[in-house]
Amino acid sequence: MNLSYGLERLWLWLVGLLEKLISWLGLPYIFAYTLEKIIFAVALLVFISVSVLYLIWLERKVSAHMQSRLGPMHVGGWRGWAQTIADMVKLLFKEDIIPAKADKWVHRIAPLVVFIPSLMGFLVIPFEKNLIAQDLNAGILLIFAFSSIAVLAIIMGGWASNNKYTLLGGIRSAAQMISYEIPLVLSVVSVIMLVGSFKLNDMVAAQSGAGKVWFVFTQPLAFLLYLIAATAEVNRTPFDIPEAESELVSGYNTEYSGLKYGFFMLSEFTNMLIVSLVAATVFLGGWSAPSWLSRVPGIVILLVKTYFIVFVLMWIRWTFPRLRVDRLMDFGWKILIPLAFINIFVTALVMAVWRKPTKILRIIKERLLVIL
Amino acid sequence: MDFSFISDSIVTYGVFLLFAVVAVASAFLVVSVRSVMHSALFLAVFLLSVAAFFFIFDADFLGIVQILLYVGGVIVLILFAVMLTARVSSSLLQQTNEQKYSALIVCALLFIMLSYSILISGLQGFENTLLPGGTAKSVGWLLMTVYVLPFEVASIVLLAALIGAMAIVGKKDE
Amino acid sequence: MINEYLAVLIFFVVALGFTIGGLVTAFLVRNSKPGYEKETTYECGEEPVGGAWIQFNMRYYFFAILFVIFDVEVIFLFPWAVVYKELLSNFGIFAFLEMALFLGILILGLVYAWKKGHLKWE
Repeated sequence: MNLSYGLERLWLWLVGLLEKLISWLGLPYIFAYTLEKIIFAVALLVFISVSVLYLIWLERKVSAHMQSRLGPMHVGGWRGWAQTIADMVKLLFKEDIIPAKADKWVHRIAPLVVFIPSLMGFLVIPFEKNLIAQDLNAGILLIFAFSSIAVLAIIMGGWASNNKYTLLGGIRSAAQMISYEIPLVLSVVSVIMLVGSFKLNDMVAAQSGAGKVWFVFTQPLAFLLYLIAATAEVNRTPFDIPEAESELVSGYNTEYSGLKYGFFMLSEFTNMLIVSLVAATVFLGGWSAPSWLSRVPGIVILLVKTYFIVFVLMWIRWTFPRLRVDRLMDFGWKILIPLAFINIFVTALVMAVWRKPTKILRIIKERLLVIL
Repeated sequence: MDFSFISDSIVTYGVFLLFAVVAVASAFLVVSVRSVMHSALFLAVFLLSVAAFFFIFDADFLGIVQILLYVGGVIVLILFAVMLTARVSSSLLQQTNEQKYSALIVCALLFIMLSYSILISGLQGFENTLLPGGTAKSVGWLLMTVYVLPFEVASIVLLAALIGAMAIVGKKDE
Repeated sequence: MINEYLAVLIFFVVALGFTIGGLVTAFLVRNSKPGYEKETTYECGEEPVGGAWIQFNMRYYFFAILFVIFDVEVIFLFPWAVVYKELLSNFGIFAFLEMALFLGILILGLVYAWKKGHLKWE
């Protein structure tokens, strides 16, 4: 068995087995399809949970070492590896407090609304060529669409608590997220122009193979814009105005306790994972690797790239101070968005002048005929 | 038990009915709950189920637009507008007034008219019309060739909206 | 042929099951002793004065409108971007000019808002 596509092979084998089993039972194909997706979704949930537990631990260790501390050291023995597991168990047993003045049902539903869309994004991310839940045509647009729902959840959580800190945190967070969503989406437009498809697998294909380079080299400005806007989208320092702990206690999730707080935490780190996965796939070649690394499984290559981006995000968080709210909005609207437009213009222009306008006259004539 | 009757089109039909119920129920709640905030949130549910309709009928790009723009944009705008109103604190809201019966008649007439026009239009359900490369490519192609003039005019409409927004906020100089 | 977006629904159901299952588990294992002090709004130990549901700054609303406008524009950009390569091979520079005009008008609006000081947060 070829080692280099281990997990992908396993998945395809499992899919084949399921389809055979279902047809042997005399059931229609849709049962096999549904079961496949459920298995994939559950596997993703396990992957997300384990990654997030490990990422929170990593975040604490990285921050500690950057500040000449040690971070968690005791729970579990080696370097406190079981600290976040213990934290999670604690969160599970914590009493759930809903403030008396709160809007109870909105307060209860907000953690669901914040977590569910963040899982949806994983639907279209190719971990390997065939290791993908569903290669939808909408591709990256689906990720943007579902991540835009998270704004709603944050407003819901902030508003329903009926607390001044949460409301301020929630509304600031919403204003920030909508402001930075524009440059985030615009930065990917130039890549879409170069690829001519929304599918993430097509983007990977456009970056792998002979004579093709990663988009981080051809679109460095887009990558930078994406990284900055993504940092703001996941509400991390220097863009952590929404949960500025020295001003707003804990921002929109101040009044949450127990597992509901856990879901806010989980989705924060899930979103971080997803923006890193998208960055790794769109700009860093995804699961593809140079030919001398062809024996390494694609998923390992993708995860190495992803965790590198995650580490960069943590690095940024513990290096830069927080931006003031007016500077933040200025930065988004007056620097990032114009730069994103310039990037699109330059890309479009370079793509245009590289070809000769050959059929233009004929086409204009055709179009006039159509209009008339 | 025999499950073999469950074909793809049956499932699609079932999902459509599910979202139809969700859409109608949430739309009804939008106009009947007594808190502005809850109204706005039920509107979000309604818009999401409309997005589901787009996906069911293979208009994937429109479905994405529906979520990205309406749920992620317009609902946020509405929530901000709700927070701008002072009414949000007085959570009880009168959603009906003395004109509700006449409104009911108008709605019934509208419903009959729309149903009639849909029934005589000869549309067939659940034809698989997914275009290669998704609908976005076809939309882009048409937008840039046949409908290029409306496309440019849309830009001016957006500009007008921008200027209108500035006019609402009021005059200010740097 | 199965509608590909059935996978979105399946993922939604699984995610819903995961979150609700988690919350129900937490509901079963935790203990609950509600009290007046616990359920007051947290305000760093002070007695809360007034509610939080007050009227908000107009500024947020303006930026939300601005966002919706630019979101619409981005949505127009997507279908253009995805066929740009094919458009170029058919129409040449014309494909660029079409979008340049569209974007140019809106960027004009952004510059106008900027010059008028509306992009300033206060």
